[in-house]
Amino acid sequence: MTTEKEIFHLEAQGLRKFFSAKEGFFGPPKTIRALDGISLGVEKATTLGIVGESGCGKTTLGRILCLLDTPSEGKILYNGREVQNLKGNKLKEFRREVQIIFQDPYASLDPRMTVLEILKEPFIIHGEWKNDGQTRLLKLADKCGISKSHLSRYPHEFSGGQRQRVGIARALALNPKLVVCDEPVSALDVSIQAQILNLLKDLQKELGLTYIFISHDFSVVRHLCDKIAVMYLGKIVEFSLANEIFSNPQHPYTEALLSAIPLPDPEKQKQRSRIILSGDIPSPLSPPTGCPFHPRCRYAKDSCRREIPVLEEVSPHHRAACPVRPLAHARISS
Amino acid sequence: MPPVLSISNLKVSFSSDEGPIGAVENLSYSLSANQTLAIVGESGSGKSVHALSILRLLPPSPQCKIEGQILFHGKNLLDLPIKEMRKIRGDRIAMIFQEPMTSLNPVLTIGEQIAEPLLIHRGKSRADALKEAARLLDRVGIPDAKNRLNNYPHQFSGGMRQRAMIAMALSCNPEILIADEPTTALDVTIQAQILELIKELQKEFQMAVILITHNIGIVADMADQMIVMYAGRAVEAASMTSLFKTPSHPYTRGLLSAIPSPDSKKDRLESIPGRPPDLKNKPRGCPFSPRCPEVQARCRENDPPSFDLGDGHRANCWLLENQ
Repeated sequence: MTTEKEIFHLEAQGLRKFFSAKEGFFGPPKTIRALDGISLGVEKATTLGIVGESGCGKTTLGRILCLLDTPSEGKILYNGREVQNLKGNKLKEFRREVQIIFQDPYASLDPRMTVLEILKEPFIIHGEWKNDGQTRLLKLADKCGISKSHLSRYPHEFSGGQRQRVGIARALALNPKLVVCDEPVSALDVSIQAQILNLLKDLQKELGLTYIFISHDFSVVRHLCDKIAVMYLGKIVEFSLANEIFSNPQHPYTEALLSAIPLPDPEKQKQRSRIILSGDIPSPLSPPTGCPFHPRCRYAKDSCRREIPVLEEVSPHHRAACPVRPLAHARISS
Repeated sequence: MPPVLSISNLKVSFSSDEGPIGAVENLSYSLSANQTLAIVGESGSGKSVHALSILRLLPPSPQCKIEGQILFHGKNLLDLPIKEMRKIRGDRIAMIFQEPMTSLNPVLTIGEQIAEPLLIHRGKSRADALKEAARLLDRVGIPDAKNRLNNYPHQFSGGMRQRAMIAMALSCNPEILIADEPTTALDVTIQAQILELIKELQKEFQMAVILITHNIGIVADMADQMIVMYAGRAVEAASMTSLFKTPSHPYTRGLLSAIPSPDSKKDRLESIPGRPPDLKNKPRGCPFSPRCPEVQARCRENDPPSFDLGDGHRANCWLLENQ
């Protein structure tokens, strides 16, 4: 894939992020590898999905990609230029183009600011309020489905879906080129979720946005994304086109995630066999040896306990980090 | 089989400065042993309030009015003195709450919390109760259960906390288990584990289960009966298969098509425009009329009654009048 020399809108190369944690007050500090060698890229005006369970590092990755946090190792390229060390005005310039929508619409809006003040802030920070800020803000609010009478209200007066619209409007205020969406709909009811997803899709079409969409919900991701990266314990275990991932998953973890999606149809649901993963995602403080997924994997062999699998090409545009599962499946189907 | 629980014309309202809030209106259903009933609706539809009123967990104050009947083996729970009610709560009817973090006591160990109902309802000794708690914790799939008894809730992950809640609810072999959004705060893989566990335990203990959720998808293979609630009332009730085959209320159809399905990639999800009505001033006529894509003039004037569509399938919508 890298040989094709694609120019990515945003690209990560070998990103690592370590946190140190102490066990007990006097214990020696331990290193948590929150991200462990992440390389991926997203093309202009497309959507890249990042899927995984809580604790897999997807939120950390999202924050680092928009430079809210610094990587311990690795590079971030924006339009081919290295950006991870930007400071001052250059960083401000980057922030104008790369924005983030946060997961929790209850915690990410300042409760003491009205919606108008919240939406005004980006314009003021970037010195654009005095020109045509007012008209642009009104247009923006309208586009995101916030009515004019709501502008003078405070966040607590809104429902979750309405708040998320404010979060979206704030992210889009300065016409960014790329938006990181960190679980933007996971706190919302299904009916409202559909409204927000449609809004994101419309805005992408209209403004030519690039999205990095972080979620634990595969069905939501499929609805929006062109490519999907599946993460487990700080690593990418599978990366491919969305359709390919759904029709032909190559990693046992992806397979299990897909089979855990509840189908909204009792007939189909009863017929299909579900793979129920046992246990939780392991603690990153003491990750398993070898393949991090082996304690929960139904294909695990002895070698999985020792060797750390690498992301290898299965077919063009499809990479997976499991040497065992594709073979096991080939045997079953032949 | 006589029903274990039968609710008729349940009405719950709260009074506020701006007038009464009708949280639940005229809800009726009955439930037999080993059956699962799913109650589906958006936030604010009254589904949790109805569950709390079964257990009489709503604050006993003049602001909160509960009318109607909740018959548990023929006895009206609403008439029982508090002392009697306490004997039923946690023993014969148990509940799993939505947020396992806020519903476990952070300063008591998991073991103490699971043992508590056994001490109260079964009069067991502390040692016996803890032994039983270890067995239960093991039964819900927590490894190394014996040592885990001494852990506090913060040492458990979300999925494990929910398992501990289930162990607690099952400690006295309840006849009815009420699960209020048991998996909403959890990842898909853990969600599948927990639902599978509830299904298994139901088979083992022959419990009646009331499953409350906002996502129709997750209950598709769990439930036998389903009630769709909107603005405090049941707008459609049917067996699971009938409801999925012929969803008859526009709201149910909206909920079904709003779920992104992993099978098909639609370009747009159909969404239900707007949001649920303010319960303090519900719209005139059918409460769904302001959001309904098939609304007619009379929907805005008159509230539709419940139409019987055969086979126990009922729905409140004027469109069904001539069928």
